[in-house]
Amino acid sequence: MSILGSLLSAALYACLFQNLIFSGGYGMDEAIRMAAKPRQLFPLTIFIVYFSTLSSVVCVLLEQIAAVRASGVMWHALLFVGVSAVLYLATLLVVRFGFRAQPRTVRRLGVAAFNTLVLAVPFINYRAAFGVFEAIGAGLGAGVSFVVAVLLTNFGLRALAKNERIPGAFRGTPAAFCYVSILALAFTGLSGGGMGV
Amino acid sequence: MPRDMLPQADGRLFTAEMKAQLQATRRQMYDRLAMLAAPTVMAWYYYGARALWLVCISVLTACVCEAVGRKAVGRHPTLLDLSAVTIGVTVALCLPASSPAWLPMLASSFAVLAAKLPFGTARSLHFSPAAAGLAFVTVCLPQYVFAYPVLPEAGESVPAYGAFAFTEGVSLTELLENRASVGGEFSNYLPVLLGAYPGPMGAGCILALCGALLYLLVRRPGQFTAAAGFLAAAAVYALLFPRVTAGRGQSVAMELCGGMLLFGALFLLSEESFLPKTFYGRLAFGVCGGLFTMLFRRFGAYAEGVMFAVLLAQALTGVFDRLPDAKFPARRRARRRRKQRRAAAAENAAAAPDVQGGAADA
Amino acid sequence: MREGFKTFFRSLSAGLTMQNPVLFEAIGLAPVAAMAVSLKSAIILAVVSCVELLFIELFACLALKRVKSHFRVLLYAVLGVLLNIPVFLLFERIAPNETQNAGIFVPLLAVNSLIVLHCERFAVKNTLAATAADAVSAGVGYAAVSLLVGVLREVLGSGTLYSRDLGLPVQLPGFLYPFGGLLLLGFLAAAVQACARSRKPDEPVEQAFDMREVSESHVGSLRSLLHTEFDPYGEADAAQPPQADKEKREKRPPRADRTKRKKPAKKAQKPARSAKPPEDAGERALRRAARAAQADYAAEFDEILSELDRYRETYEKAPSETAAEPDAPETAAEPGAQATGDAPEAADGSKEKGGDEA
Repeated sequence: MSILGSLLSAALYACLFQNLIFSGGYGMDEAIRMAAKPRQLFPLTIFIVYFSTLSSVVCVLLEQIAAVRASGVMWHALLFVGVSAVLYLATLLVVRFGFRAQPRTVRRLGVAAFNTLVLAVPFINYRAAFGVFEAIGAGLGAGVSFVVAVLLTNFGLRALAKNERIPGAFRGTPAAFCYVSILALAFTGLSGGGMGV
Repeated sequence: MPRDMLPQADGRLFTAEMKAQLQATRRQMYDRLAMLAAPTVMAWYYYGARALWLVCISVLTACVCEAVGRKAVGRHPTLLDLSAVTIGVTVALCLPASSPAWLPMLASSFAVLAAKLPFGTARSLHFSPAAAGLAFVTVCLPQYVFAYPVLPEAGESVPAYGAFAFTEGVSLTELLENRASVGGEFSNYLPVLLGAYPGPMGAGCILALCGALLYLLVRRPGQFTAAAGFLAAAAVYALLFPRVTAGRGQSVAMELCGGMLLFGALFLLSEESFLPKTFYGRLAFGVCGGLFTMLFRRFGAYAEGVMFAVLLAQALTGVFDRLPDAKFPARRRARRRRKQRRAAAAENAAAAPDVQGGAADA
Repeated sequence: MREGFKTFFRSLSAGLTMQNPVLFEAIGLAPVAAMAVSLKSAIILAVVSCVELLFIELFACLALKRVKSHFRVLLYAVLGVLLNIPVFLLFERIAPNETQNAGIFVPLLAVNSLIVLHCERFAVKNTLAATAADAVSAGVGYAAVSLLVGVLREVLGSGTLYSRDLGLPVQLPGFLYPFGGLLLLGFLAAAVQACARSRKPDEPVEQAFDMREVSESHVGSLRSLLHTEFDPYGEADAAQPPQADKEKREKRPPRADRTKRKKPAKKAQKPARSAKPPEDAGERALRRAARAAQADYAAEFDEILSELDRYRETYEKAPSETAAEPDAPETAAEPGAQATGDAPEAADGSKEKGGDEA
């Protein structure tokens, strides 16, 4: 139960109370760009959850090594990118040659593996000194927060597309930014501010 | 394509279509201002001239920001639809009577410039500007927004926040956070019903707000649906998960009467521009808003979360629009009458050629 | 030379205004919205992003054109973090507090979408000079927006500028949160768009996405999405290939070249005819029989279709009569049968039908 509790609480924090995208800003550009064409949403989200969970678990396990724990932020960054790179290569081999996936699917792999959201999760685990199960929860929460952000932004973009009264200066990206900023303001009511990591 | 208040080629300001839209918006705003009248009067009654002064400043700021902002984007100001006035009054009544003058000015200007201007006119908004303005000042300056003063003596005006005579009172939301209750007797709730309790200056008098709720039911039943769903969901949540240890009934009473919940249901949530178009959509929208509000109150970072919950629920309006419309008895009768009329007209049309053919043969 | 400079300055001004990567392409939003909360942190962000963008774009142009895109993405991230390390260490010495306050965003700049998108869209498809111009213009545009947003947020949110107190009566810490950064970006983008429209009303401003093409999310049709979209075997592509694949197909070499490439592989796989085992004859006979049966089925099917056509013609010619008396096709068919050339067949067909019904 405590394992499930820590997993769920970490996931809820990543998804709601400290929403990684709206309160933290991680992965915001991917979310906004994906919101315009969400037909690729679910495969990309699955890959994001996969990479964020697996990389955070591996990084948490590597943190048990004293030398790794004692190193600075940039060496941690190198380690996290290295872990992501290895996972990406392994997944690429399996997906490309095992499942014989299409180039479109393989392209999504690259986007899902190397973005600010997926790389932020191991950093957050490192700063918060999460264990393995909390790291899994944080990875899952990252994926859910991505889906929530994309869907909410997509609803807004569709409403903005139908709105013919938007002033000319705000048409397009400016109105989209203002819309997303108010969404982020709504989530700030839960988090009380930025993430401060 | 509707023209957004651009000057016409023949020098007129409005086309006929724009005039009709303006009148429709103005009628809505008249209703809202009528509902806001009672809370404003009660705020003046309890907090003195300062309450009216804050309302006036807020309204003036909203109108100036509207005029300047619309001019900056090359559009004519939409002051005539009274939406800026409504925003100003709504925002001011949710703040404490002791707040400094710049606080309602800040909230109103954010509401108009950030939540109204980029999205067009009052009929094309996506978020409640008043809710956005309140959320902004809550995030920036929570120490001002939740500093409710003790009610002053009769005939005196409430002192400003930080003044020597200022004394902070204990509001219902604070009691709920501390899991304390007002008391089990009905007499303990009389000050709450009459508004003689520390809280937002316009959101305290529950009787006045209940009167506004009745007005909404009579004049705008569609908007009442959303408000009813909101209040029902909040009540059910308070019943099932009470924060107050004194009992579930007291939990429901305190949650509904405390903070800006009832005010938010009337003036932040149930505005026609952001409501879904169908009956079940509005109901679900209201229920969602109520649930979000209670979750924000329980787990959020601030004592009051209704403005954040309303913004989040309004982001989901597109989802609720997909829900079906209701088939009420009155609508069913009207539909039946229309069908009968159509059938009678078809029979007459079918009978008419026979008569004509017979006449031709003869 | 002069033309080169003109092109360079034009691309520079475009990168600052109408083709700004942050304001109109929605690239690299995360660091600007979350990290650029003061002038100092904005300077760190701007310098790190520009250095990374320039070096990685030039490297991609020189060395990564022949590398597959799957591996290029990986190399961008690794190069980014390797470039980050010396810059980060330098800033740690110059401005340790600000580097500390920047948190994890400096390392996260290694996977900034600004670098990946500009390298993939431009660097690997253009010359070195053009790539350098693109890197400089995008970098300058990104840096300008970061600095402006950083200054505004520090003044409005903290009441300071470059850590010097300005003595403002009110501070709005809300602008230090991501929503404040996004709001300022929205208004900046609106201001730039308004200026661009007033100067060049006919030239469209580059947008991150065309609002008219925002597609629906699949909240209500998850099953169809999983069935049609997440299709690693490309079965859906055969039915309706998407735009991206269409473009790819257009870019592919002409069919003659492709068949030339394929032929040697086919030739290698084909076995010699004389070496076929005796079972093939039996298989061939079976195939012949199946084809013959298919042909019989086809002929019968054609007959049924022609009968249906005749039946339809008969009833279409006299619809009111057939509608009134569905049980009397003979009487209805006769006038129609007299009118057309196909009359005897129609009469026969309908008579047969009448007989069957009887």
